[in-house]
Amino acid sequence: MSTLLKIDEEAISADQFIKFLKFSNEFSELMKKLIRNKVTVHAAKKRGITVSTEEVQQMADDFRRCIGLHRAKETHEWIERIGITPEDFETFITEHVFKKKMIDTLTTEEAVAAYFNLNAPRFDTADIKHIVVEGREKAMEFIALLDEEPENFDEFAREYSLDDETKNTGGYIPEVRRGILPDEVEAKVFNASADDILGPFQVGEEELYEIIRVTAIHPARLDKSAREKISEAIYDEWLNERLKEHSVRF
Amino acid sequence: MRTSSIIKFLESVEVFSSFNPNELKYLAIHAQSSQYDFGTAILKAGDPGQGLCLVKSGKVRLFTESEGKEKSFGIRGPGDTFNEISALKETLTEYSVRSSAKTEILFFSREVIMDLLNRNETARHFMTRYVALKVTGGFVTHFFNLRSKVSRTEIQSIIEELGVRRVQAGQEILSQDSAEDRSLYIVRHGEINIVREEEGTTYPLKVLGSGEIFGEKACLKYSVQQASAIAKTDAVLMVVPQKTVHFIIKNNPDIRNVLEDRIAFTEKEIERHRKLAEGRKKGFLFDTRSKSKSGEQIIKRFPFVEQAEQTDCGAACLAMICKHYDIPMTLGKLREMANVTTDGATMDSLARVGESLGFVTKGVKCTYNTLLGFDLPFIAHWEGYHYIVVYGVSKNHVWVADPAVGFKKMSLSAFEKGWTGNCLLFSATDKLAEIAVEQSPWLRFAGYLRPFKKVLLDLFFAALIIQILGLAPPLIIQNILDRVVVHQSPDLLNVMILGLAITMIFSHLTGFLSVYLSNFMIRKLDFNMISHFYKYVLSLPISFFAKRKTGDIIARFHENNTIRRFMTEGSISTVLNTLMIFTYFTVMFIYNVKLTLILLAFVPPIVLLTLAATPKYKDYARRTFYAGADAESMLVETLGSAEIVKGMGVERAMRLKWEKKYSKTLDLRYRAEMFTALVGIFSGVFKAGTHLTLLWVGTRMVLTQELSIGQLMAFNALIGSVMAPIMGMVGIWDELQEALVSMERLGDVLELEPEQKPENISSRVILPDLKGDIRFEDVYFRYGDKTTPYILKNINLEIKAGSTVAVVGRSGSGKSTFANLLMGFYKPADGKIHVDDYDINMLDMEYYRRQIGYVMQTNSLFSGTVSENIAIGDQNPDPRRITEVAKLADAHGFISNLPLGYEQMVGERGTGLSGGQIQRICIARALYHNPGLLIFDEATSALDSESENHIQMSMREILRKRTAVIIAHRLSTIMNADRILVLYKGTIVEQGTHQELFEKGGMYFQLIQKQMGGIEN
Repeated sequence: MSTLLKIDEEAISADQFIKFLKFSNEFSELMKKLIRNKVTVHAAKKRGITVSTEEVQQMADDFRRCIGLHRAKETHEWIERIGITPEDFETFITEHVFKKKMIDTLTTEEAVAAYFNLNAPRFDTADIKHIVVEGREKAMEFIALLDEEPENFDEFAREYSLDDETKNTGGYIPEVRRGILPDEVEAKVFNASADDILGPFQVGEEELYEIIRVTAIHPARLDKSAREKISEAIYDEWLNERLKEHSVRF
Repeated sequence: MRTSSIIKFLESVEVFSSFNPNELKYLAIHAQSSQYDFGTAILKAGDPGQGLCLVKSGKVRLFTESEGKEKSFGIRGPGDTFNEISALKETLTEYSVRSSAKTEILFFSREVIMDLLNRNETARHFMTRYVALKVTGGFVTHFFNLRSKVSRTEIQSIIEELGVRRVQAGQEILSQDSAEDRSLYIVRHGEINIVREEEGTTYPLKVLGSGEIFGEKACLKYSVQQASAIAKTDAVLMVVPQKTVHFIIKNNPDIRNVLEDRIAFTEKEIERHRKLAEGRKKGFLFDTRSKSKSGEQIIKRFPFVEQAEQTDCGAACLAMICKHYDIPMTLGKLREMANVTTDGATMDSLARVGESLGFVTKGVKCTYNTLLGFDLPFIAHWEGYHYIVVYGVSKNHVWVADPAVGFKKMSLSAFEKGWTGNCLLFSATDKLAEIAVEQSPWLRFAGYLRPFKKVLLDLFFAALIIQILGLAPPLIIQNILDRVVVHQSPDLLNVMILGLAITMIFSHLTGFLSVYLSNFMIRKLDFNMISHFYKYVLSLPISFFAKRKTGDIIARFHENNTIRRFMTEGSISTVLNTLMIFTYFTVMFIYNVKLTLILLAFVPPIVLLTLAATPKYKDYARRTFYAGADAESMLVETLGSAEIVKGMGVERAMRLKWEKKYSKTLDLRYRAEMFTALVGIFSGVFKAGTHLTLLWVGTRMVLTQELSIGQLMAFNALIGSVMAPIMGMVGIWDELQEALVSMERLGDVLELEPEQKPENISSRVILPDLKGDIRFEDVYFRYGDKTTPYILKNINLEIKAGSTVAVVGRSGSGKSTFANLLMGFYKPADGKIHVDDYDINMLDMEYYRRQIGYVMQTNSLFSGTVSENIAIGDQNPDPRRITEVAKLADAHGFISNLPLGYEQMVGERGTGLSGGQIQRICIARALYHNPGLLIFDEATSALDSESENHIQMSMREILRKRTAVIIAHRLSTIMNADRILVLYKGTIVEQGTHQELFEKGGMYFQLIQKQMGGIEN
């Protein structure tokens, strides 16, 4: 077995390294990444996607630039240093191109837009302010006071909130996405109108209660970050389908 | 120092302004001061108030809480008081109080204040006025929402005008159509019935509780009273003069809307009752003349209710039965419940009403002879169109109460001429059981025995006779041995043998009689218990069936038998055995003290052994039950989905799984039996030991001539007889344990709340004809408790009667849950659902659901013919209607092609029919009753496109004049809907017509695109 590393006289073999990865729970993560790449390339080839030399060249150049190898000599040195052959490098880059082209065919403008339309509410965001206090009675009293004078919210947050991170900004938490708040709170927040005061919601198992004021609900827009997330989701869903077609064991 | 500062403060406070300095000092000394941080509870509503509270510094909030929502009564600051009334008398606090800043409260106990008031008349006067002002003022301000709308002096002047009226139960406060009193009444305590009388019929409109108002129409519109108000309980009312009401309205115009809404509501109620109820109500008469002679069974003082018109006879009969059982139910309400069909009551509707009143009803067709054994009173069907109550029977006569005529004693032949042979029996056991819900399970089941008191007593006497006769043989044997054998007297022998023969014959005869009686009783008991249980199980909410396994529920049905056995056999034998043990031991003591004492010495070990074994017995019984129920569930499941099992070829696997469970049951049972046998050996050894010892001692006594041989034999025979009751007593202990386990198991079903409680029946709203006006207000729903996610969120929606609404969305978006809520299967976690402007929780679910046509994605048929399935629940199916709805559902074609057409038998899941065919029969079934609201939950999913096209064509006819909610995937089904709702993860994200949504190009557009493209994901 080839030796990967030597510490003084102790040789660490690839076998030992793999065991180490397995012990530290990183093995399966990396393996999954590998499987995903392989399956994607496989599917791309099956679909008849081709890769031209120019594309590989372009990708290789991009890759080199990305890791700071500007000259051919440096690249050769790098290849030698990490102990791979130029062929290995080419295969790696080619697969990468396949994957990228596959993803591109999946996440076309229309596909992304369609996905967005079907799942738009998932990308809604809300701006909220919150106050965290101890004890339900106390929370109820704050809500009663805020019912009468909602404009005091910021002041109460500054003075009484136990959330040190937000108290100075009047409890302000901008751009809360779905999936972050507890289900109960999320259901209420995303179905509220601006300036609604909600709560008190119990925070975890403790005697802490949260009062929320919704400042704005932003309906989802198909912006750059939404696009990225949708592309990712489309690729993930597609990949999960593909994975069912293969038998993968490790 | 502290006291003087308090005195200073007290001087400035209004409430104490009539006290002199000495008195203030006294107060200051006795004041209890407490400090509260922000947001601390000071008083809880409903706690007894102990005295007056005064805010010294800071501020407090007064509020009430209901359903987790608080309603603020405002803030009290320094110098203000709260809980004033408890300074004068002990009452429960009406509101909760919480500090709204760092606060100091001074508390003065009632004793301290009363002490001063008793000595100072002026102060007393002032204080009483102050308290009245505060209490009423607070209430009025809050009630009419006048805070910050009128000044303090104006409030004061309003309060000056207010009156308080105390009324006694039954007193009339307002009378219908009178215009004398146009004040507005607010109920402070107690309950008020609002009733309206029309053409002689009185019907209840509403029962008002604390905080509700009446007299609003006369007050607001200067008209006559809409309805009479009669105190149901003793009540305290606040009277607001008309002038004051108008002053209040001027300051808070919202009040006018509130009042007008109430007027509209009452008018609607009157309209509904008019529709439901016609005719007049007559008072009750009692039959006080008929007395039962031998061979006759007559109910004494049977009440009579006269019918108002022909269609009323059924309701009048029910009213008589209710009156007889002391069930408070008005004729009007009964009529409303029974005459749901246009042509009056049917046997079926009467039975149903009986059931909802808490009876177990049974409709039977029988001959006169069978009738003699029935429980009185019962309803008999008369001449095909009339109903009468039979309350007395004998061999030759029948006593009936005919709602059209009155009491009648008829000869048998006259009765048989009119009687159709149908009757409806009522057993009242259920009512008893229902009262016993909060009581112990023992009382609950003992309730079933109550009607059999007489039979039980007879049984007891029979058993007593048998036991006493059992004493004779030992005595006779002793005499035979001691006199006949010793004195050589054959004559005496003949007499003795004859005596023995007679006792034996008697004892066997009595034995037969008691078996006969107990069988008779057991038959009735079993019927009552099981059918009540069945009814109870079906009255449980749908969530019960979603959670429990079928086998588990079935197993619980068997438990009824264990309890019944214990109750009948157990109860008699316990009493009897105790008695017998005493008699036998007395007799034995007379025979020989020494021998008896030896016998007694052996009893405790046997008893102890059994008692020691009990916990283990109980444990086995419990484990066997659960294991058995588990195996049964598995069996039911496997058989129920036989095609899946066979289709997947997993017969073996399923059988192995079942075998494992079943063998576990058998194993447990085997171990339980072995344990019983083991205990049996021990007690057998003890018993044998007893016998041997007694024989040894006895024989020695005979040898020493302390005892005659006959006495020894008799004593030996007596031992045999006395051991039976002793073991019986111990056995009862076992049975008791078993019965306890059974009760536990039944208890966890019977303690669940039925979907609609029988005691609420009079407040339930029965919709005579469902229009299908549906409104969802801020509805949130989840299946479990707080930890489970919401399935529906913030649903706000209005469905107009007669419109068609389609619900679309991807799977898991909450569409079926939406249908479930609409069906009333579940209650919203938050928010309200209104149907025809009534809160859905107020509706009588059975009547409501019967007017809904509900078709699910997966449907099943019941065993029976096709037409029986379509007209399910209808006792007199209308073949024309069946064909009509079958045509609408595009089922007529294939049904006609079945070998027997509409009379073709179909099985549990519609054996031999395709999924699409079953679905079409189910659509026809839903349409048969001409429902006001149609809910199709993917109802056309199993149809092929041709059949779907056919249904589409008749859709216009299907949807005509009724509200429809259609949950569907197929575009064709939803395109024509008046409105389409798009659900996404429980929220309505888009709504509009097909055209609108399509043009919008949002989620709906995408869903449609996907369907047309036919690509999933």
